[in-house]
Amino acid sequence: MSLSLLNYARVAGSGRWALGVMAGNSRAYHQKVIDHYENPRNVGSLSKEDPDVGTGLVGAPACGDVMKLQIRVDKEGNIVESKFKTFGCGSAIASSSLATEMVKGMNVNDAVKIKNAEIASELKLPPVKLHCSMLAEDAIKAAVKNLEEKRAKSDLNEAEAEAEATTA
Amino acid sequence: MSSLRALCNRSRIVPWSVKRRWLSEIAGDEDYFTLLGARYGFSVDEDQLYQEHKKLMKSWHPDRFADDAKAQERALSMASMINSAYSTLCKPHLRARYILEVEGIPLKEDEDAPVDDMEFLGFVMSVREALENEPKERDLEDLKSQINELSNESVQQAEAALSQIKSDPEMKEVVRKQASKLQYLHRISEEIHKLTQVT
Repeated sequence: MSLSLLNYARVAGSGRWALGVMAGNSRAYHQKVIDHYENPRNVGSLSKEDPDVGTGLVGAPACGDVMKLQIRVDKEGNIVESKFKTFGCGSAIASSSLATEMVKGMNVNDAVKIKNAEIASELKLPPVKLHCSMLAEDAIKAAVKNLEEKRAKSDLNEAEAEAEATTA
Repeated sequence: MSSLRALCNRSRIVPWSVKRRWLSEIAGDEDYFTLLGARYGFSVDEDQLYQEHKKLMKSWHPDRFADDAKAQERALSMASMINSAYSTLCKPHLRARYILEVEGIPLKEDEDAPVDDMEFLGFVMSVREALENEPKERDLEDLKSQINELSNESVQQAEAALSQIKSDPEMKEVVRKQASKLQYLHRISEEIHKLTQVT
């Protein structure tokens, strides 16, 4: 969406409604958001305890939304599977649904570089819903961080066990 | 004067002298607590709030000023404000959110979460997931009381932190954390309410 259109939306006050009018569509949600809402991809859970699963759990305190995004990663750090569960508005659900689609096949080092602006522009989110895409970005980062912490912990446990074995 | 007011209540005719006193009684820029005569804090006497709202609306209902357009306009804005105040203060999570605004530490949508209480978020997530799986009525009742208990706890902790907020600025974070907890808990209550309505 062009910058001038966005400015118009902000000036008009109710960003979402004005954008709808400009786009010639009186609905509050863009078709892409509705699509993710009605046909969500990758809804579900992975086993939290699995050593190759990272779980990102984030919340939006202003509205009480919660979002869980999980990734299963192979030894090279490539995301082979991703699931999400989100309780919140359509934009939040769509953002996390899209996020799971985006990260599949990515290496974790690339996944953490995903910016909320990419998600927002793909879904054509109006300004009032930009924070939903931010939540999804945070969820991806949290999932990767969780996996790193898990792996660091298990490496530490392995190292300690080895040390004990050698001293014994 | 009380008999005059009683006469007014019955007949809807309000003498200008009485009206003038009413119009001057509310400045129009009070905070919601002052407006409804409630003690500033996370817990309020909800019955007293209801009675005060009822009393104020009796005085300020625009219909009572039907014969004076200017006074009616003012009454309309007063009545709106009184209604906004009441609908905000009668719900704990909205009350909490309002207090954060008054204290200058509002919950904003585009801000990072005040405190990442992972245990609490995990709890909220698992509860909301469980609610999707057609819980039994008894389980819903148990959950309802558990959520009420947690909400009361948060209200008390927020209240305690608020009382120290001037002497200890770090209490601001505690207040925000407890107020955000109330927002999450309210969403759960809403879901439970929806589920119990269907049956």
